[in-house]
Amino acid sequence: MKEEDILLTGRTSPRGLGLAGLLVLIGIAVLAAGCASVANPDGWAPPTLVDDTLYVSIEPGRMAALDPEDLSVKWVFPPDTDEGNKLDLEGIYAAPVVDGDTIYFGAYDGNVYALNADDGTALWRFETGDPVTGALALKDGRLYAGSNDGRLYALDIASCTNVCPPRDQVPSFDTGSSIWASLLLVDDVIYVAAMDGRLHALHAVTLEPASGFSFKTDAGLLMDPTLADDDTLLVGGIDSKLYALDPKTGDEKWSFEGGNWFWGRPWVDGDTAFIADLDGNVYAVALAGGEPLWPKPFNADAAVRSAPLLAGDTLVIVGRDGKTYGLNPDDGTRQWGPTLLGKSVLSNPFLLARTISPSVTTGPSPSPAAASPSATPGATAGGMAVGETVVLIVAQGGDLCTIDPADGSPAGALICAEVPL
Amino acid sequence: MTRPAAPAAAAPAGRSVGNMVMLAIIGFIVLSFVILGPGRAWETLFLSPLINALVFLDLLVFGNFGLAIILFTLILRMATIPFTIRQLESTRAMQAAQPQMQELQKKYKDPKRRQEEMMKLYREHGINPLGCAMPMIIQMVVFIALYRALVFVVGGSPESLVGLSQRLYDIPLLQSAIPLDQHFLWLNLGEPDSTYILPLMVGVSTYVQQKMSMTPNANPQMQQQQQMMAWMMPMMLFFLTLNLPSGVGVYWVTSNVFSLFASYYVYGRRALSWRQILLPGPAPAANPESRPSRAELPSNTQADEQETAEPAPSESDAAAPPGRVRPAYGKRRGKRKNRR
Repeated sequence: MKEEDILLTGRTSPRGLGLAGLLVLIGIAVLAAGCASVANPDGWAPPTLVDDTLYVSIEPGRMAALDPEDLSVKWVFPPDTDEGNKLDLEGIYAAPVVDGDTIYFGAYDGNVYALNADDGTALWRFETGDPVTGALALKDGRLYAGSNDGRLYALDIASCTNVCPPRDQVPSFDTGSSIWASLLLVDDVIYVAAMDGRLHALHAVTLEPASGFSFKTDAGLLMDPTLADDDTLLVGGIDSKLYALDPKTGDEKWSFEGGNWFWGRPWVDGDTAFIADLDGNVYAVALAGGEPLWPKPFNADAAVRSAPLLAGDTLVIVGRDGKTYGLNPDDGTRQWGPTLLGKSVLSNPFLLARTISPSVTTGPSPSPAAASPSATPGATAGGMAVGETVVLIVAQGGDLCTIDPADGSPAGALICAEVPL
Repeated sequence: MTRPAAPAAAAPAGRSVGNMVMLAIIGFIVLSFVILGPGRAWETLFLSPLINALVFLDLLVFGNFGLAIILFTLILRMATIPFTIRQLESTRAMQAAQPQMQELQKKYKDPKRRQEEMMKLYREHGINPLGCAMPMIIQMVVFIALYRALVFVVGGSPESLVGLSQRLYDIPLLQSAIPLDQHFLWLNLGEPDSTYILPLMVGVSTYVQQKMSMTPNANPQMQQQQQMMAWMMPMMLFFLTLNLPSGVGVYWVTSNVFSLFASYYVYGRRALSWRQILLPGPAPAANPESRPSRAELPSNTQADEQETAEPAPSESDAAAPPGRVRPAYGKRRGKRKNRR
């Protein structure tokens, strides 16, 4: 629009134009701000199966115990009560640790929670300075928690009968940076990956650094440290490199460079580590020397934060966009997929073996017709129930998705469904 | 300190070069949006560079992300200072032309003719009706991009860090800065300020800045609109800041403070008078000192003068060129002095 046009169209004055423009721009700004949601912490804790209970975060900031057979809910924490609704855990990012009849996990609200595994009632909570995003570790009555405040806390469980001591009275080790990754406990040594690129090896009892151990990269370590074998410890993170270290000294044995950050932990099978990066590249790396084993990496359509999962002869990869792929672990070629989950996925897929009754129809549970070729022979009960192995995927927001790892088909009436509480 | 508003005839050649550069930039952006598509173009041209610039500045200020935002705002405002100065000058020129505008409104009843005369007057005074829009557009684009950038950079959740990985350039120096410290003063830059202090600072600084740039307007309807905006804008930004990451509020306050200094540079000391800030509306437009000489009026205006019964301006009025006019709020003090 030319100046003259504006001025000749009756009452429109430059000042009026300015005001109208300002209002329009504010409107656009408000709209853009409203549309672009702030990335609230949802959590991506993978499921954990202990005995006959599946522990999974089915809503942001809520831990649930499910029956693995039909995925029905046994209990939910925080419960849907006045008291429970006051609690806001914000998000749960790591699988819980279960010890006897107690379940422990850290939450994004900065607390470590202990619940009764039978009914989900809260036993106590311990407050760290910042969010807890990595998995905890438990040994000899001590619970280890790494926090974003940079400290590794060693909490004596016996000291938390009802109330835990304040964090400054709990033995801790200050990494000087923040801790995002899960802890790895091997014998008496606890490995702590920090966001300043340092990997700490500490004595579990004294929290003193293990003598002779040292490792540091230039960028943060996001990936959970993984012990591939007795002599190889794998770490990785923001510098897009996967490092193989000597677990005793921290000496680098080899490193493998990917296309983007490594966040999801690798899947180790024999002498091969399968790993995906946040560019969606999936690699098979030889543990011996760090050479790529596939002719070329498999490329998913979106970032892959989830860890790969080897289910039988299929390597299952889940992208952030919810596209799921089945790969041949020998050469990285696609066997099936992508299967569209229709949800964003950041959590690790989980292999669940279960016996399915055909009477179960709700939620993501399979119907008899969905019994897959991967059904375990001889697992039928009375000619009605079917044994099968499914890949269970927790989507962002808590929906549960089940697929057949053999062909990527939905393992239930619905590929993904909300779990009714 | 007060600088004269340059009439159109004396418009520097640099201004047309500036216009060309501005048009070239706009053309490039439009072309990119057409070729790449809106989403990718937005990411490539605005979001990713902004995110990486913020991370780089964070490194420069030793990991204090709040300072990085302030530094970023200052650099951006310095880079766009020609637009800002132009906007302020245009506003000031409009202030100077108010008496003549009033005169033209009284003189010409035919709207078309009146607009033609107005147009001539604008040209005479170097007023660009669209000149005010560019700094505003830049501000808003940066505001939206910064909001999105903050969601990723200090969004405060691991999910936002996954998003950041898709936008951070593959430069080891930048990667070493992740994750950024979210804390600055009492604020968590990735979350809204629940203490209301920052939203209040945004509201107050926006109000003051609005009042500084308000021009007296002959049209009462427009004046009413201006007054409404002087309240509406700060109120809206106050509520917006209540729900946005605090980093956006830090940007807004810094930007407003910069604007105040720019106003001071262009308008002089009087622009910061408390009277101007606290008065409900802009100062009255009538300013005899600011009237241009007849020779400076457009020829049509002179010709039509005969048709009207307007009293001729005094000698002293005619002597003052339009560019050397004090802003209306400055004039009041002058009058008081005369009374004394």
